[in-house]
Amino acid sequence: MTLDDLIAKLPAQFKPWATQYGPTFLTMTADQFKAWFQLLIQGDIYTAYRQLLAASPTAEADIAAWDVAGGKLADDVIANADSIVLQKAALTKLLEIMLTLGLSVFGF
Amino acid sequence: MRTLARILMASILGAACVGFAGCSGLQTRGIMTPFVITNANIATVELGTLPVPKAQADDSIHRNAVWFTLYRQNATMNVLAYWFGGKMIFTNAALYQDVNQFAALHDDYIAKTTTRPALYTEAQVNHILSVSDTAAVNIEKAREGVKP
Repeated sequence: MTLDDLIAKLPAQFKPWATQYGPTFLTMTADQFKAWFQLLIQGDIYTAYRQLLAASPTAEADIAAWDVAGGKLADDVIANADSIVLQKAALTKLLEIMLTLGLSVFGF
Repeated sequence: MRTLARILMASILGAACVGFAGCSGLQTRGIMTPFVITNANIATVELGTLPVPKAQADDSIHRNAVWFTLYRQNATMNVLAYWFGGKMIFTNAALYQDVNQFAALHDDYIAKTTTRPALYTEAQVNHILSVSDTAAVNIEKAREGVKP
């Protein structure tokens, strides 16, 4: 079921609530819903509401995830470039040693 | 004969890579090379035009999702899979993780906005596109071995 299907099924006064909380219910399994409903039956409404908020996908959390991934990629690209500079420096050093050895062998 | 030519080419390129340019943690071959370069060019131009209307930004994120899906499908950390297994992007572990992470983020964006088109504001969609385009540019920079 999509969010639009859910909204279509509801009476008009519940539709605005479905926009905010519907996606959380759509991602729940039947067992998760049963456990959540059990909290309501027991009257533990604060826990039930906190669980609902914690499970609710928020745009801000998603944006933060994109920023973290973008930052990590930039760091990894910088580390890659640094590694190439180091490889070149190491090879240049090795060639300097080889050159010194060669010059010594040939008596320069 | 073809396999022998590939082994020879890999050896020559490997030597050249170490000897002259240094080995980048992200290398491409075949069609992936122009693909990565072209995508980075498109992303660079697009970054200069942001912000754009929400629908346009959303279209661009869908386009980038195709790019990153192809990167994910072609990326490998196994040099044998790169040269002989049909994979066309060779990466180190960190960049492999980044490629997969960005492909997953694009998948997540599409899944969420399909069921919930109003989840993100226009500014947020533009922000996501900006991160996505910058990632495409950084993939090319990793290939070139230069800093962002």
